[in-house]
Amino acid sequence: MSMRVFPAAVSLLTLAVLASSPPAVASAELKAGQAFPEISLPSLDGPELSIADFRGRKIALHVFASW
Amino acid sequence: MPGWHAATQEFEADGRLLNVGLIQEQHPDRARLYLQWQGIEWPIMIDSLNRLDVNVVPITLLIDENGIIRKRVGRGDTRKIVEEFLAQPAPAAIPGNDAVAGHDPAIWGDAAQRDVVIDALEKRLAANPDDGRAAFELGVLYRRRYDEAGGDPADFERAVARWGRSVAVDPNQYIWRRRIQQYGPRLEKPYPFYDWVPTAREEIRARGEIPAELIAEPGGAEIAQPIRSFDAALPANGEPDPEGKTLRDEAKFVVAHATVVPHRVRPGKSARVHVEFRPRGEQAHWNNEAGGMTLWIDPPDGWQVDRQRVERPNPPEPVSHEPRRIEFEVQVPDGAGSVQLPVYALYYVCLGEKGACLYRRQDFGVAVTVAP
Repeated sequence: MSMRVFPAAVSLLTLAVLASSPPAVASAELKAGQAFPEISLPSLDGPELSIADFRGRKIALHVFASW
Repeated sequence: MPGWHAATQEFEADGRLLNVGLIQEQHPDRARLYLQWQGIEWPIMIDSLNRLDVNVVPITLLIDENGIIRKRVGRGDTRKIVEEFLAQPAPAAIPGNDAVAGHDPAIWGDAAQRDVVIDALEKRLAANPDDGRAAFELGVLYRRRYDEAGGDPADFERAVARWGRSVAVDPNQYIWRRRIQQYGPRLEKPYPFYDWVPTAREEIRARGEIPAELIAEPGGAEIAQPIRSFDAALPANGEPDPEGKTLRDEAKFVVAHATVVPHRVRPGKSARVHVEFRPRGEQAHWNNEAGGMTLWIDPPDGWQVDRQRVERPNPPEPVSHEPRRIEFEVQVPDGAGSVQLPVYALYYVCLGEKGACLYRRQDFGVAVTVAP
């Protein structure tokens, strides 16, 4: 996995904020008619990905598990 | 997913559709192996902390050019559904916002940063024991730390305890429940989760490819068939040291650590015991040429184990230093109480490059708490 590089202070601040208040993303938002949350996540290939990266395209997003 | 892959390949090839995957798994590298096996090359987003609060898998979301979810698809005629989606005209473009980071970078790399996050989450959970999300995320982070070389063996137990708390807070959170099932007793699981791994590797090799490596091999409960009864438990192969004559590992050249899942067992139910053995420090190592490790479990009256004697074969190299894990299952009686399950291990351990090689026995008790 590739890592984003943060200056240490900014990174710690970011982490503290995330740990104390993770993005309030409710499952209700994953319903038809709602915008998919604009959050970025690590990807299997390394760079972070967001559905917002693919604006202008039709997407089939598969929520799955190998188990 | 293979069904979608087959049904949408031509739409992907002409650029009309982009398939993207989203996984919540504890071990994303297993999804990599799975996708390699299936020949699927979609971009995959990893949400091990389940920040998106997904509560069911698998589902497919059809998302339009503006990032709006147009349809939530379960099972059905995939091709027809996709054709209808592709036939919809593109909506007028609306501007979007920059995506915010949806994960803690700490879980993927820097150990010091991860420890900061763990401390913060522990404080959150202490302030509010019903914060199921904090409990779940702590489980993910502890387990990740446990899977790293040199990790703290107690982290597995911490992970299981936190996941247990998260499911107690919200029994209906499917992803949280799956995590505890993955490492729990086989009785609690609907099917063996990772039994596809050997087949996948075999088929990938047969194609002349090298299977993607896994950070942590699926083991025990993760690949075992659910057992429905302890009646058919394998007959014991005899106690390996019935008279107790083998010298004890008094100096603890090997450190043993047991984790029981679930931590508190309901009367009449079963738990899975994970025992980990680590050669202590840099000096001690396994002597693989001498013989394997043997574990003997001596359950008290009324308690049952799926096997009393467990043999663990050695890796091919003559010496090694890896943590060794042995698992077994125990079914507790109806009465409540706490028991120290007597267990001992026999192993060959060497000290230093030219140091002595010893055969030693280590006795320990596995604490099992039965409570309604």
